[in-house]
Amino acid sequence: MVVGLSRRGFLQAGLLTSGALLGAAVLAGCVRSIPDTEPPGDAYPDVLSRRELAILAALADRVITPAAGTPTARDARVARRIDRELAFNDGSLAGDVRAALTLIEYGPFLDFHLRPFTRLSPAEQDTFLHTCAESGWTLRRNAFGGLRFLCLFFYYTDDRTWRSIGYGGTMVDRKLPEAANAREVLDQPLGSARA
Amino acid sequence: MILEYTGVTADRHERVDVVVIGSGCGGATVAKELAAAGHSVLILERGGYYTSGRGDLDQRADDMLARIDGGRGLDTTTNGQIGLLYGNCVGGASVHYWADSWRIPADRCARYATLGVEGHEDSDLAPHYARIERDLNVHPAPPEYYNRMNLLFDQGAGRLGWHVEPVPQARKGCLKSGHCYQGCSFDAKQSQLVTHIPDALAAGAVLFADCRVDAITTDAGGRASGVRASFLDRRSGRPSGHTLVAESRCVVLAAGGYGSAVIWLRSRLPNGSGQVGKNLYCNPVPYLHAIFPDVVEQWSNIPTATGTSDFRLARYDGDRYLEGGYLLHPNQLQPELLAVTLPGFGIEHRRLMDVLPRMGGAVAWIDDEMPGEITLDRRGRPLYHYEIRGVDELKTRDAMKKQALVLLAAGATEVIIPDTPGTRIRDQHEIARLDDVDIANGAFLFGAPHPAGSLRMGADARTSVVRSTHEAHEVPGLFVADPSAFPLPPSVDPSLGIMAWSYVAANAVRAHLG
Ligand SMILES: Cc1cc2nc3c(=O)[nH]c(=O)nc-3n(C[C@H](O)[C@H](O)[C@H](O)COP(=O)(O)OP(=O)(O)OC[C@H]3O[C@@H](n4cnc5c(N)ncnc54)[C@H](O)[C@@H]3O)c2cc1C
Repeated sequence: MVVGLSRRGFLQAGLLTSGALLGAAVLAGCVRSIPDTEPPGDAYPDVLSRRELAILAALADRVITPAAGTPTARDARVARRIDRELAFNDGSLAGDVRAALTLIEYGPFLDFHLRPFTRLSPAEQDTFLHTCAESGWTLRRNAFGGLRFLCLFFYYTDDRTWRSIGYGGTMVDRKLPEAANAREVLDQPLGSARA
Repeated sequence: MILEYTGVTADRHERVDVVVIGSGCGGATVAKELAAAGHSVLILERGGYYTSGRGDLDQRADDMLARIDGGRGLDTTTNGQIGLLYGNCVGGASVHYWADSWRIPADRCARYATLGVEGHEDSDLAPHYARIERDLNVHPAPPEYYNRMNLLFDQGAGRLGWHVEPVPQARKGCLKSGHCYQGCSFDAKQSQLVTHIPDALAAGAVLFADCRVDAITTDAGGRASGVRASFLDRRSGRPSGHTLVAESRCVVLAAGGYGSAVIWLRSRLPNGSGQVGKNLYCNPVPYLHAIFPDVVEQWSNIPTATGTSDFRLARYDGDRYLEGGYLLHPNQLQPELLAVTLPGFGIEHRRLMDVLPRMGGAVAWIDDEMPGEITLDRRGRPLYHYEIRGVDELKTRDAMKKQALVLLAAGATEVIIPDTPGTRIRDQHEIARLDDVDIANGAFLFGAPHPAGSLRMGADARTSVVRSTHEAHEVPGLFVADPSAFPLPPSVDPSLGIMAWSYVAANAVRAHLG
């Protein structure tokens, strides 16, 4: 029995839809205008392409509104931490995240925008994300829901955010795991933790 | 002796009486019993070995989910509706768990008996429970372990006329840190890591951590003859290149409710009943948040000192569902999981984060009746197909209504439903809105920490996978000792029941070994 949309179904549908959207975007002559910039210092993501990382960083900016005096999603390197996490996954999650990012980036074409997500104004981005969150189209809802989850998790595990939410923190010292996704290790090559 | 990935420098070949796959409640219990009986026992555990003494259990969700959780906290069912929580470390999911320690209720044992399970009645298990409760220091939560959310829950339940009870806890010298699901930094939670694993090692068992069983092997006669496994490099989670071949007189499969059927399917063991991987139950977990006028700090002290079993059994009028079919408790989430389960994004979400210390909540475990299935994809990776539906959806909605009731009765000014629109309930008249809340995939994320059923026990080889001796109907010498063998979920948190069943399994393995 297979209930709902299977992960493979999600992936295939995601890629197919992404392909169709990409095709529409190319026809509309918009692909060249999609920024290939990356957040500073994140020139070499582990799993995502630099373009995918830039989409994720733009999304994280909208998902997270920092409290006064706390890091932004970019300062917390949320997108890059997610990218590092994907490197430890057996592959299916990375595929889903990629498909979801493509849906977010090119999704605005479905809503008659002539620009991709990263080229919308912040207000337009918010409106578009609300459309995704409330969409009757499961794939779209799942894509945004999954990315939202990742952004929030990797932002609020940054200890610089804790004071602002009234959380006093842990009772013991930190010890990074061998396969860490912490901000502190992102500039070290993957798998370089000491055995 | 524990071998970790750093100590593996070559392929290995071992010959023992028993290979035990998995070191959680199921595997560790069998392993220590068999080692104590003088058998040579090799425990193989896919995850790493993490201890408080080495400072590994650092209470941070990002670090700890990466260390101890099977999917590093990110695994879901194929439809994305349910987050799967399971163990991946020495001690298994008990390193994660909240330490609520219930016996399987006698009515559920009797139900199992009607499904062809023998020798697992309440009276059969009673002596095993007595031992486990002594060894794990199981006791009702004393008053000083009631955090503010627990006290509020009791007040609310009292106003509604519900009966509440202290939840039995497996703890010793708890320091109330509240980081139970991230692994106890003080060895106070009596997980397998600090109880049955040390017992097994002291009795002579050997444990290989970072060692993933790829297949159970069989001899020409179809009997279990050992395993093939790969050592993993903990830095990447991928095979290090070194392998293990273990030959044994029998194999105990205890890789957990999400893991054992996967190994069976990957090993291409016989499946004449067609039931392997089927009947996946997982006790889906609905939860509601609520804002209180004063500070709650739900993340402090122990999660569930109290709760109510009033609704454990579903009530029906003929075929018509009326109410119940779940346990109901105060909830405890640490801030990062509160953040991901609170609805909205941007400024809307920020406003909720600003009142986090005043955020409380309630949680329920649904005694599910509509199972899912475990299959493999083309690359042999597990797929967990499960959708909350039918009577389970009715139970889920009823559980959420009861949560809203108790939270409002406890003084919450606003109940927050973690659905996409972030539906709010401000008084009892609005509770009916829970009938319409969209709980489909993508609109609501449930948790599922209690998998069971996918290698179910029964007398008939045509409809079940293992006998009442825990030995596989079709693979002599292969024993299943985890909740995969439960024919139905136990209707309470399962750890104590898993261990009690493992004592029964250990006796059967001993008889098999002679
Ligand atoms: C957050 C959380 C809270 C919980 N709270 C409670 C509670 O309060 N009370 C309660 O009773 N229960 C609770 N549970 C459930 C309980 O912890 C589990 O049901 C129980 O510990 C499962 O024991 P197990 O032996 O069946 O499986 P596990 O503990 O999952 O052990 C199986 C082990 O097998 C290993 N394994 C899997 N595949 C392989 C392979 N191929 N090769 C080698 N090893 C493998 C896994 O890494 C794992 O360590 C909770 C669970 C979670 C996640």
